[in-house]
Amino acid sequence: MKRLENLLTELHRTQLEKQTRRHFLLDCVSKMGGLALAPLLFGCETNPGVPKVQGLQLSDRDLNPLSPLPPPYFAKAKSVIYLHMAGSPSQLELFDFKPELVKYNNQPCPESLLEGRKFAFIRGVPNLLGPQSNFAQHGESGAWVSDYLPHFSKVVDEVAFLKAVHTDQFNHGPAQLFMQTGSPRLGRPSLGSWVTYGLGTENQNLPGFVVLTSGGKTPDAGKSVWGSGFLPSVYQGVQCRSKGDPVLYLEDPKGINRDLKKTLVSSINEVNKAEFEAFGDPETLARINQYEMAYRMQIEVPNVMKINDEPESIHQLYGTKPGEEAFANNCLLARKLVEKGVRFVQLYDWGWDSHGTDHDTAIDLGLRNKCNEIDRPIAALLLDLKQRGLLEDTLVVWGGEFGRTPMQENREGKTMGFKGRDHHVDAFTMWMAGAGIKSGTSYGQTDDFGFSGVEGKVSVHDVHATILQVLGFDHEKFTYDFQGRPFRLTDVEGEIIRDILA
Amino acid sequence: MPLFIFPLIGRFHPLIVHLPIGFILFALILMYYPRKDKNLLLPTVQFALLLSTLTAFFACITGIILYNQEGYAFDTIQNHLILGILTALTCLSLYLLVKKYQSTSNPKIHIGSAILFLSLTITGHLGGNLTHGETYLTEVLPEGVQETFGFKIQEQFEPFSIDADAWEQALFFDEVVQPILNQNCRSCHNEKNSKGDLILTSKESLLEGGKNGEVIFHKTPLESELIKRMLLPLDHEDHMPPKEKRQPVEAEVALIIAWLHAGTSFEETLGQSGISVDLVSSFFVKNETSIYPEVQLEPLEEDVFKELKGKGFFIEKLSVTFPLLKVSTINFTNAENQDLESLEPILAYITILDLSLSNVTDDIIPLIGKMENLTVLKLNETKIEGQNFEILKGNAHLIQLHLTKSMVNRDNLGKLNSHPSLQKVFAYETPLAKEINVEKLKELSFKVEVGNFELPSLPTDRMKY
Repeated sequence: MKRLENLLTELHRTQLEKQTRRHFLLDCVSKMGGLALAPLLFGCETNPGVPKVQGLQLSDRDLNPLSPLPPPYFAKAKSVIYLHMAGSPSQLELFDFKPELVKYNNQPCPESLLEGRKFAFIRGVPNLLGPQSNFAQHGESGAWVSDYLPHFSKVVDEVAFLKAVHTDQFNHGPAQLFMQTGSPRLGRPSLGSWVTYGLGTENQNLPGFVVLTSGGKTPDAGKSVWGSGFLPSVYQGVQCRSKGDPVLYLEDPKGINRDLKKTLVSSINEVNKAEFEAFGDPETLARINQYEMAYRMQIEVPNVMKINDEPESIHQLYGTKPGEEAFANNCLLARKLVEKGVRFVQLYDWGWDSHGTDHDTAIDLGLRNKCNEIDRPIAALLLDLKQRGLLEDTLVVWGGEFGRTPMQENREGKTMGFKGRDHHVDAFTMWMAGAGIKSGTSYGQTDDFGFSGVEGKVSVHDVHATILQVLGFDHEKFTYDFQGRPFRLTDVEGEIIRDILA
Repeated sequence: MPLFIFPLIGRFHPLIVHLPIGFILFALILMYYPRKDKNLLLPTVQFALLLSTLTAFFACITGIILYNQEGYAFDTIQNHLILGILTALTCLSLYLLVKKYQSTSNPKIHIGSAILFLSLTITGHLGGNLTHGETYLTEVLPEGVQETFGFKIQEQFEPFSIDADAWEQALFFDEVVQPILNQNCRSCHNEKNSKGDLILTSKESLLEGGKNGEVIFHKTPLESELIKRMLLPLDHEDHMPPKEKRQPVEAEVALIIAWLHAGTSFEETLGQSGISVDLVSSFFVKNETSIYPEVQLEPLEEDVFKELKGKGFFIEKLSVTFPLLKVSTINFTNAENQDLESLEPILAYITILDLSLSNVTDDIIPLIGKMENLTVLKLNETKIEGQNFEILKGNAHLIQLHLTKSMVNRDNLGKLNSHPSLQKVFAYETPLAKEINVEKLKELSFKVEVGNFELPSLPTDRMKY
């Protein structure tokens, strides 16, 4: 306390020394202006930090914005693992089997389908492209899965497919934002941020929302896909590296022991608390909390992020590549994090943009390699969650940001050397598994070419509404006041997809 | 004359009306403004009244053209029309009277002015209601005021739903079709507001139809105007409900079609009509049967939460409104048996208990046995052996038992056999998962998940394409 007093006295003195007549004049001008401005801004933000969920008011939220809260309704799931394949895999090679498309392979696409449509790269009349993989039905549910995913085929009975998801964005960045934040433009909180804001986190030594990336690049939309938008920034995703130290500068420098660090952190936080009392900016609280969490994470994170301690059988199951940045490692980490009570784990795997411009993006070559990278890890993740009983309260979601065309891409109207498909918004496949999901089902159907949904069409908002429902929220009532109006993840849309709920 | 002339002139009505309003008010002000010499402004008054009369008639003519061209129902505009003509006529009489008496202070003229002022105001208000809607003025008033004066006539309808267990007994029209109509059509087709003369609030009015005749054709039900309009593309001019209004969901339209298909009966039940359950299933109210026991417990005081949280427990209600609790030692991993004794006052409230990774031993089981509402018990990665597991048979709501990486063996798990409620035990990486063949676990009254899943290697695993 003595130390703090000294610090504060010193701060006060230096501030006074620097206070001049000019400051007085400046204050007169700026603060008068502020007075005039205040009524204009009235209603911008009513009560930051306290979720407006069913009239609930909790003051511990002001001190610890990540403190746990009960959901408004019974929740089936307490955690989410979201596997996002950035670039968007081809549903027509993996899940959406279209025998008709085989027959019409290399035939010009009927003009009626193309009328009034725009594609990212396709120009003129492209040819249809039959599936490049071999499909078979698997499991008791008889789900169609191709030979690109031999391991996943064995766990299809755990999964509920959505075969006719549609979006309205055909470029990666906006489509990823739409899929993750409910809006194709910047500024909205991501799904994980909403969930962490609404429920807080159970394990106070770990972040509530962790992001892991693989495939060599982060998503095209940048870090905004796990940003907190207008929510306090403490709810944004914490990106952990899957290679090297999970969080940079986590270890203490040489010669600094943990006690000294503790004193340091608590002194800084005392100053920050005074700052908060003076100005009431919620971001200051976020700062305090992040310091404290960083201190606690120093112990917990290295433990949980260390996959070397896992037994050999688990490494074999997932097909991990220790020391590398690999999707398999991230899947194993996702399980460990969820096991430790992390609320939302978001995995991004980059490299699914199969345009057919080169070997790596060819639908019959590069795509198979990408499938190999995720096939075993995803099957392993589902099995591992199942054997540990974690699938009872964890929701797993898989998908891209859109789908791929039934037509072969003809960039600039030319025939291309490799087989590829363009971005497609009208129909693509996603799946969910785990808590609250009716496993072994398939909902929605596409037409004979897999071009558009013909029944059970669901939008991105519908997917969000369903995820929130499983977590115990009514997506229409879960709001945050910003710029004078309540905002929702699902904006003014979204129907819960009850057919896939248990 | 080009065809567009009349509609165009008609649409000038809302503009033209402001001329007589202005002139009439101006004339009235001129008449009553001078204090001493009442006739000071007489020539100006006469001129103002002449202008008022001319523009008032012009406004009437454009109004009548508008009425003819835009297909307003007579009922909706009759008062405005009659009063408008009355205003114009009063204005003319007033002008003639002033001209006749060459004065503004005649009693007849006073009465005339009063009538003119009143009819002008009312006509103007009715006209405003026609363009802006009847609630234009009142909707900005505070709700209490609106209710007192009975302005609030907007009816709210609950989203339509069917009881899942008794759907076959539901009356097809009264309990399905009418509620769908209420929700999607009634705001524009009711007794007070009947667009196109169509009222969709009852069987009788539905059969009566609208200004273009019947909306349900009994012989060819699927050709019915009611359904055809709903099936038109959204941007088609005749699509109903209008583009900007709430649209019925597909399943709602499908149900109305099914009703027409089944013979448009007003007495039949859903069961009698023979429709498939798939058509109605999306409207079933799901009677959420949660796995947690229903209890009559007073919600706990905030202080109890605070105290236990202070000790390091994670403790939270299952949902905002449900009193039962989830308690865990997730942030209290060095918790010992005696630490849990502080849970004594809330034992009946605990429905999920997670002691994973804590230092508890078998001696804690008697305490757990007292948690009468326990449904999920997690003892993962603890030293629990289960010597006294028979105590847990008293937990009559226990459904899930998580024992991953605990020390429980087959014999001790066997003590739970024929537990009254237990459904699933997770026992991955326990002595029991290792020691015996899995077949023997099938004799138990609950499902045991021992895991140890494997994904055998495939030749394609290491293939590079």
